[in-house]
Amino acid sequence: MALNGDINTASKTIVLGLATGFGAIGPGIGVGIIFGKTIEAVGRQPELRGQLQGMMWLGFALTEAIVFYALGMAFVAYAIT
Amino acid sequence: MTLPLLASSTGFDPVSEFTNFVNDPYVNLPFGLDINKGVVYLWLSGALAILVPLLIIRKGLKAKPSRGQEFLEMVYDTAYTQIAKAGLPDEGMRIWFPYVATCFVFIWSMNLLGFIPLPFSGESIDIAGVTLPKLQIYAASANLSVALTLTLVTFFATHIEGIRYNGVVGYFKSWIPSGTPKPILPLLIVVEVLSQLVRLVSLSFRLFFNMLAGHLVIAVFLGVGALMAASLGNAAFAVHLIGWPMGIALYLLEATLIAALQAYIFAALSALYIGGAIHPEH
Repeated sequence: MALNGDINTASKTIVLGLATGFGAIGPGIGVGIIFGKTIEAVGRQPELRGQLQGMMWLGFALTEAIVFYALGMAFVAYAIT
Repeated sequence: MTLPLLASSTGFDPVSEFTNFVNDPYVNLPFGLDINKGVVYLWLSGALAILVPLLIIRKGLKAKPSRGQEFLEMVYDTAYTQIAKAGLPDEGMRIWFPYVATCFVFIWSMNLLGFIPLPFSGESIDIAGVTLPKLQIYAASANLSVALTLTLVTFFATHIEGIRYNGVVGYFKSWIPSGTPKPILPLLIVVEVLSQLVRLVSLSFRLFFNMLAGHLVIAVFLGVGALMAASLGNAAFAVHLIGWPMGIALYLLEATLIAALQAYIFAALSALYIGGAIHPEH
Protein backbone atom coordinates (compact mmCIF):
# COMPACT_ATOMS: atom_id res chain seq x y z
CA MET A 1 0.00 0.00 0.00
CA ALA A 2 2.27 2.73 -1.27
CA LEU A 3 1.10 6.31 -1.16
CA ASN A 4 2.56 8.67 -3.69
CA GLY A 5 2.97 12.44 -3.60
CA ASP A 6 5.38 14.78 -1.88
CA ILE A 7 5.55 15.85 1.76
CA ASN A 8 4.97 19.51 0.86
CA THR A 9 1.56 18.88 -0.67
CA ALA A 10 0.69 16.47 2.13
CA SER A 11 1.41 19.00 4.88
CA LYS A 12 -0.42 21.78 3.03
CA THR A 13 -3.46 19.54 2.64
CA ILE A 14 -3.42 18.63 6.33
CA VAL A 15 -3.18 22.31 7.27
CA LEU A 16 -6.09 23.13 4.96
CA GLY A 17 -8.21 20.55 6.73
CA LEU A 18 -7.11 21.62 10.20
CA ALA A 19 -7.67 25.33 9.55
CA THR A 20 -11.17 24.74 8.22
CA GLY A 21 -11.96 22.37 11.07
CA PHE A 22 -10.80 24.73 13.80
CA GLY A 23 -12.56 27.59 12.07
CA ALA A 24 -15.79 25.63 12.17
CA ILE A 25 -15.78 25.13 15.97
CA GLY A 26 -16.83 28.65 16.92
CA PRO A 27 -19.54 29.14 14.30
CA GLY A 28 -20.83 25.64 15.10
CA ILE A 29 -21.39 26.64 18.71
CA GLY A 30 -22.81 29.99 17.60
CA VAL A 31 -25.32 28.48 15.20
CA GLY A 32 -26.41 26.08 17.94
CA ILE A 33 -26.97 28.96 20.34
CA ILE A 34 -28.96 30.94 17.74
CA PHE A 35 -31.33 28.07 16.95
CA GLY A 36 -31.62 27.06 20.60
CA LYS A 37 -32.45 30.59 21.75
CA THR A 38 -35.00 31.01 18.96
CA ILE A 39 -36.73 27.78 19.96
CA GLU A 40 -36.73 29.00 23.54
CA ALA A 41 -38.18 32.35 22.56
CA VAL A 42 -40.88 30.79 20.36
CA GLY A 43 -41.72 28.50 23.27
CA ARG A 44 -42.30 31.52 25.48
CA GLN A 45 -44.11 33.72 22.94
CA PRO A 46 -45.39 31.62 20.04
CA GLU A 47 -47.13 34.66 18.52
CA LEU A 48 -43.75 36.24 17.64
CA ARG A 49 -42.70 33.23 15.58
CA GLY A 50 -42.60 34.99 12.19
CA GLN A 51 -40.49 37.92 13.40
CA LEU A 52 -38.12 35.69 15.35
CA GLN A 53 -37.59 33.38 12.40
CA GLY A 54 -36.54 36.25 10.16
CA MET A 55 -33.96 37.35 12.71
CA MET A 56 -32.87 33.76 13.27
CA TRP A 57 -32.02 33.20 9.59
CA LEU A 58 -30.14 36.47 9.44
CA GLY A 59 -28.15 35.60 12.55
CA PHE A 60 -27.57 32.10 11.24
CA ALA A 61 -26.14 33.40 7.97
CA LEU A 62 -23.93 35.97 9.67
CA THR A 63 -22.51 33.32 12.00
CA GLU A 64 -22.15 30.66 9.35
CA ALA A 65 -20.15 33.02 7.12
CA ILE A 66 -17.27 32.81 9.63
CA VAL A 67 -16.63 29.21 8.60
CA PHE A 68 -16.16 30.45 5.06
CA TYR A 69 -13.64 33.07 6.14
CA ALA A 70 -11.61 30.24 7.65
CA LEU A 71 -12.10 28.13 4.53
CA GLY A 72 -11.17 31.03 2.27
CA MET A 73 -8.02 31.82 4.21
CA ALA A 74 -7.12 28.13 4.23
CA PHE A 75 -7.47 28.03 0.44
CA VAL A 76 -5.33 31.16 0.13
CA ALA A 77 -2.67 29.63 2.36
CA TYR A 78 -2.85 26.42 0.33
CA ALA A 79 -2.50 28.27 -2.95
CA ILE A 80 0.34 30.70 -2.16
CA THR A 81 2.75 28.69 0.02
CA MET B 1 -18.41 19.65 -11.14
CA THR B 2 -18.51 16.60 -13.32
CA LEU B 3 -20.20 13.89 -11.36
CA PRO B 4 -17.48 11.33 -10.69
CA LEU B 5 -18.42 7.89 -11.90
CA LEU B 6 -17.63 4.60 -10.27
CA ALA B 7 -15.43 3.61 -13.18
CA SER B 8 -13.02 6.55 -13.07
CA SER B 9 -10.23 5.52 -10.78
CA THR B 10 -7.78 7.90 -12.44
CA GLY B 11 -8.59 10.45 -9.76
CA PHE B 12 -10.41 13.73 -10.06
CA ASP B 13 -9.69 17.24 -8.82
CA PRO B 14 -12.79 18.95 -7.41
CA VAL B 15 -11.20 22.42 -7.26
CA SER B 16 -10.11 22.52 -10.90
CA GLU B 17 -13.75 22.44 -12.00
CA PHE B 18 -14.16 25.94 -10.59
CA THR B 19 -11.05 27.48 -12.10
CA ASN B 20 -10.23 25.79 -15.41
CA PHE B 21 -13.23 27.00 -17.41
CA VAL B 22 -11.87 30.56 -17.35
CA ASN B 23 -8.93 29.46 -19.49
CA ASP B 24 -10.95 27.76 -22.23
CA PRO B 25 -13.95 29.98 -23.08
CA TYR B 26 -16.46 29.08 -25.78
CA VAL B 27 -15.99 32.42 -27.56
CA ASN B 28 -12.95 34.68 -27.27
CA LEU B 29 -13.74 38.38 -27.10
CA PRO B 30 -11.47 41.39 -26.47
CA PHE B 31 -10.99 42.96 -23.02
CA GLY B 32 -11.47 39.58 -21.31
CA LEU B 33 -15.20 39.60 -22.08
CA ASP B 34 -14.99 35.94 -23.03
CA ILE B 35 -18.10 33.84 -23.11
CA ASN B 36 -17.30 30.90 -20.87
CA LYS B 37 -19.26 28.46 -18.77
CA GLY B 38 -19.92 31.02 -16.04
CA VAL B 39 -21.42 33.49 -18.52
CA VAL B 40 -23.67 30.83 -20.03
CA TYR B 41 -24.90 29.92 -16.55
CA LEU B 42 -25.59 33.60 -15.83
CA TRP B 43 -27.65 33.90 -19.04
CA LEU B 44 -29.57 30.73 -18.25
CA SER B 45 -30.39 31.86 -14.73
CA GLY B 46 -31.41 35.28 -15.99
CA ALA B 47 -33.74 33.63 -18.49
CA LEU B 48 -35.09 31.34 -15.76
CA ALA B 49 -35.74 34.26 -13.42
CA ILE B 50 -37.60 36.19 -16.14
CA LEU B 51 -39.42 33.46 -18.06
CA VAL B 52 -40.92 31.36 -15.26
CA PRO B 53 -42.86 34.25 -13.63
CA LEU B 54 -43.76 35.61 -17.08
CA LEU B 55 -45.20 32.28 -18.24
CA ILE B 56 -47.20 31.87 -15.04
CA ILE B 57 -48.57 35.42 -15.26
CA ARG B 58 -49.40 35.05 -18.98
CA LYS B 59 -51.57 32.05 -18.14
CA GLY B 60 -53.82 34.48 -16.28
CA LEU B 61 -54.12 35.42 -12.63
CA LYS B 62 -57.26 34.26 -10.85
CA ALA B 63 -58.97 34.96 -7.57
CA LYS B 64 -58.67 31.26 -6.81
CA PRO B 65 -54.93 30.88 -7.52
CA SER B 66 -53.35 27.99 -9.33
CA ARG B 67 -50.28 26.39 -7.78
CA GLY B 68 -47.96 28.47 -9.93
CA GLN B 69 -49.68 31.67 -8.95
CA GLU B 70 -49.64 30.64 -5.29
CA PHE B 71 -45.89 30.10 -5.52
CA LEU B 72 -45.32 33.46 -7.21
CA GLU B 73 -47.41 35.24 -4.60
CA MET B 74 -45.40 33.54 -1.87
CA VAL B 75 -42.12 34.70 -3.42
CA TYR B 76 -43.44 38.25 -3.82
CA ASP B 77 -44.76 38.27 -0.28
CA THR B 78 -41.41 37.07 1.09
CA ALA B 79 -39.56 39.70 -0.91
CA TYR B 80 -41.95 42.44 0.19
CA THR B 81 -42.65 41.78 3.85
CA GLN B 82 -39.65 39.76 5.00
CA ILE B 83 -36.87 41.36 2.96
CA ALA B 84 -37.80 44.89 1.88
CA LYS B 85 -40.10 45.94 4.75
CA ALA B 86 -37.61 44.69 7.33
CA GLY B 87 -34.77 46.84 6.03
CA LEU B 88 -35.96 49.69 3.85
CA PRO B 89 -37.74 52.83 5.08
CA ASP B 90 -40.92 53.86 3.26
CA GLU B 91 -39.33 56.54 1.07
CA GLY B 92 -36.69 54.12 -0.23
CA MET B 93 -39.27 51.46 -1.03
CA ARG B 94 -40.18 52.71 -4.50
CA ILE B 95 -36.63 52.54 -5.86
CA TRP B 96 -35.03 49.78 -3.85
CA PHE B 97 -37.76 47.21 -3.36
CA PRO B 98 -37.45 46.20 -7.04
CA TYR B 99 -33.69 45.93 -6.60
CA VAL B 100 -33.71 43.69 -3.54
CA ALA B 101 -36.55 41.58 -4.97
CA THR B 102 -34.55 41.16 -8.19
CA CYS B 103 -31.48 40.19 -6.16
CA PHE B 104 -33.54 37.60 -4.32
CA VAL B 105 -35.07 36.02 -7.42
CA PHE B 106 -31.92 36.20 -9.56
CA ILE B 107 -29.57 34.76 -6.93
CA TRP B 108 -32.12 32.08 -6.09
CA SER B 109 -32.39 31.03 -9.72
CA MET B 110 -28.58 31.04 -10.05
CA ASN B 111 -28.30 28.83 -6.99
CA LEU B 112 -31.08 26.49 -8.09
CA LEU B 113 -29.65 26.16 -11.58
CA GLY B 114 -26.42 25.15 -9.90
CA PHE B 115 -28.03 21.92 -8.69
CA ILE B 116 -29.40 20.75 -12.03
CA PRO B 117 -26.90 18.57 -13.93
CA LEU B 118 -26.29 20.24 -17.30
CA PRO B 119 -24.00 19.28 -20.20
CA PHE B 120 -21.55 22.19 -20.05
CA SER B 121 -18.50 20.38 -18.70
CA GLY B 122 -16.65 20.33 -22.02
CA GLU B 123 -15.84 16.66 -21.46
CA SER B 124 -17.55 13.75 -23.12
CA ILE B 125 -18.09 10.09 -22.39
CA ASP B 126 -18.72 7.12 -24.66
CA ILE B 127 -21.73 5.03 -23.75
CA ALA B 128 -22.41 2.11 -26.13
CA GLY B 129 -20.67 3.84 -29.03
CA VAL B 130 -22.51 7.16 -28.64
CA THR B 131 -20.51 10.18 -27.52
CA LEU B 132 -22.47 12.09 -24.91
CA PRO B 133 -21.41 15.22 -23.01
CA LYS B 134 -20.72 14.64 -19.32
CA LEU B 135 -23.30 16.13 -17.02
CA GLN B 136 -22.06 18.60 -14.49
CA ILE B 137 -23.35 20.77 -11.67
CA TYR B 138 -21.94 24.27 -11.51
CA ALA B 139 -23.44 27.45 -10.10
CA ALA B 140 -22.80 30.92 -11.50
CA SER B 141 -22.83 32.20 -7.93
CA ALA B 142 -19.98 29.84 -6.99
CA ASN B 143 -17.76 32.40 -8.64
CA LEU B 144 -16.26 35.36 -6.83
CA SER B 145 -16.67 37.70 -9.82
CA VAL B 146 -20.43 37.24 -9.84
CA ALA B 147 -20.85 37.56 -6.08
CA LEU B 148 -18.52 40.56 -5.89
CA THR B 149 -20.25 42.39 -8.76
CA LEU B 150 -23.63 42.04 -7.06
CA THR B 151 -22.05 43.20 -3.80
CA LEU B 152 -20.51 46.26 -5.48
CA VAL B 153 -23.93 47.31 -6.74
CA THR B 154 -25.24 47.18 -3.18
CA PHE B 155 -22.11 48.93 -1.87
CA PHE B 156 -22.34 51.90 -4.23
CA ALA B 157 -26.13 52.07 -3.90
CA THR B 158 -25.72 52.30 -0.12
CA HIS B 159 -23.34 55.24 -0.17
CA ILE B 160 -24.97 57.11 -3.04
CA GLU B 161 -28.39 56.86 -1.41
CA GLY B 162 -26.91 57.85 1.95
CA ILE B 163 -25.38 60.98 0.44
CA ARG B 164 -28.50 61.76 -1.59
CA TYR B 165 -30.80 61.65 1.43
CA ASN B 166 -28.53 63.10 4.13
CA GLY B 167 -25.99 65.25 2.28
CA VAL B 168 -22.27 64.51 2.18
CA VAL B 169 -21.49 65.93 5.62
CA GLY B 170 -24.64 64.58 7.22
CA TYR B 171 -24.06 61.09 5.88
CA PHE B 172 -20.46 60.69 6.94
CA LYS B 173 -21.24 62.31 10.30
CA SER B 174 -23.94 59.70 10.81
CA TRP B 175 -21.29 56.96 10.84
CA ILE B 176 -20.05 58.25 14.19
CA PRO B 177 -22.37 58.22 17.23
CA SER B 178 -23.08 61.74 18.46
CA GLY B 179 -21.50 62.68 21.77
CA THR B 180 -18.37 60.59 21.23
CA PRO B 181 -15.48 61.84 23.38
CA LYS B 182 -12.76 63.55 21.32
CA PRO B 183 -9.83 61.23 22.27
CA ILE B 184 -11.35 58.07 20.80
CA LEU B 185 -12.66 59.80 17.68
CA PRO B 186 -9.77 58.82 15.33
CA LEU B 187 -9.99 55.21 16.44
CA LEU B 188 -13.74 55.16 15.88
CA ILE B 189 -13.38 56.64 12.39
CA VAL B 190 -10.90 53.91 11.45
CA VAL B 191 -13.19 51.21 12.83
CA GLU B 192 -16.26 52.58 11.03
CA VAL B 193 -14.49 52.90 7.68
CA LEU B 194 -13.12 49.38 8.07
CA SER B 195 -16.55 48.00 8.93
CA GLN B 196 -17.97 49.55 5.75
CA LEU B 197 -15.24 47.91 3.68
CA VAL B 198 -15.58 44.56 5.47
CA ARG B 199 -19.21 44.50 4.28
CA LEU B 200 -17.87 44.11 0.76
CA VAL B 201 -15.90 41.03 1.76
CA SER B 202 -18.53 39.51 4.01
CA LEU B 203 -21.46 39.93 1.63
CA SER B 204 -19.62 38.55 -1.41
CA PHE B 205 -17.71 35.79 0.41
CA ARG B 206 -20.85 34.53 2.11
CA LEU B 207 -22.61 33.90 -1.19
CA PHE B 208 -19.54 32.72 -3.08
CA PHE B 209 -18.17 30.31 -0.50
CA ASN B 210 -21.58 28.96 0.50
CA MET B 211 -22.18 27.82 -3.04
CA LEU B 212 -18.57 26.77 -3.70
CA ALA B 213 -18.29 24.82 -0.46
CA GLY B 214 -21.70 23.28 -1.02
CA HIS B 215 -20.70 22.00 -4.44
CA LEU B 216 -17.29 20.87 -3.22
CA VAL B 217 -18.75 18.93 -0.31
CA ILE B 218 -21.21 17.18 -2.63
CA ALA B 219 -18.39 16.38 -5.08
CA VAL B 220 -16.08 15.10 -2.38
CA PHE B 221 -18.71 12.83 -0.85
CA LEU B 222 -19.75 11.46 -4.24
CA GLY B 223 -16.15 11.02 -5.35
CA VAL B 224 -14.36 10.06 -2.15
CA GLY B 225 -14.42 6.38 -3.12
CA ALA B 226 -12.85 7.08 -6.50
CA LEU B 227 -10.31 9.42 -4.89
CA MET B 228 -9.26 6.80 -2.36
CA ALA B 229 -9.25 4.02 -4.91
CA ALA B 230 -6.75 5.96 -6.99
CA SER B 231 -4.10 5.59 -4.27
CA LEU B 232 -5.31 2.68 -2.14
CA GLY B 233 -6.51 0.18 -4.74
CA ASN B 234 -9.91 -0.92 -5.96
CA ALA B 235 -11.10 -2.17 -2.55
CA ALA B 236 -11.55 1.46 -1.52
CA PHE B 237 -14.51 1.76 -3.91
CA ALA B 238 -16.50 0.36 -0.97
CA VAL B 239 -16.27 3.83 0.58
CA HIS B 240 -18.91 4.83 -1.99
CA LEU B 241 -21.43 2.96 0.19
CA ILE B 242 -21.04 5.71 2.81
CA GLY B 243 -20.13 8.54 0.47
CA TRP B 244 -23.09 8.41 -1.90
CA PRO B 245 -25.92 8.51 0.69
CA MET B 246 -24.14 11.39 2.44
CA GLY B 247 -23.62 13.16 -0.87
CA ILE B 248 -27.25 12.78 -1.89
CA ALA B 249 -28.47 13.97 1.52
CA LEU B 250 -26.23 17.04 1.34
CA TYR B 251 -27.38 17.67 -2.24
CA LEU B 252 -31.00 17.74 -1.11
CA LEU B 253 -30.18 20.05 1.81
CA GLU B 254 -28.24 22.45 -0.39
CA ALA B 255 -30.75 22.49 -3.22
CA THR B 256 -33.81 23.04 -1.04
CA LEU B 257 -32.62 25.08 1.93
CA ILE B 258 -29.24 26.71 1.33
CA ALA B 259 -29.99 27.90 -2.22
CA ALA B 260 -33.05 29.85 -1.10
CA LEU B 261 -31.49 30.93 2.19
CA GLN B 262 -28.43 32.51 0.63
CA ALA B 263 -30.56 34.47 -1.84
CA TYR B 264 -32.76 35.62 1.04
CA ILE B 265 -29.77 36.63 3.15
CA PHE B 266 -28.11 38.57 0.35
CA ALA B 267 -31.30 40.48 -0.44
CA ALA B 268 -32.15 41.09 3.24
CA LEU B 269 -28.68 42.41 4.04
CA SER B 270 -28.72 44.61 0.92
CA ALA B 271 -32.03 46.06 2.09
CA LEU B 272 -30.65 46.56 5.61
CA TYR B 273 -27.51 48.33 4.37
CA ILE B 274 -29.36 50.61 1.96
CA GLY B 275 -32.09 51.31 4.49
CA GLY B 276 -29.47 52.06 7.15
CA ALA B 277 -27.82 54.59 4.87
CA ILE B 278 -31.09 56.34 4.01
CA HIS B 279 -32.13 56.57 7.65
CA PRO B 280 -29.00 56.47 9.83
CA GLU B 281 -29.64 55.42 13.39
CA HIS B 282 -27.25 57.86 15.01
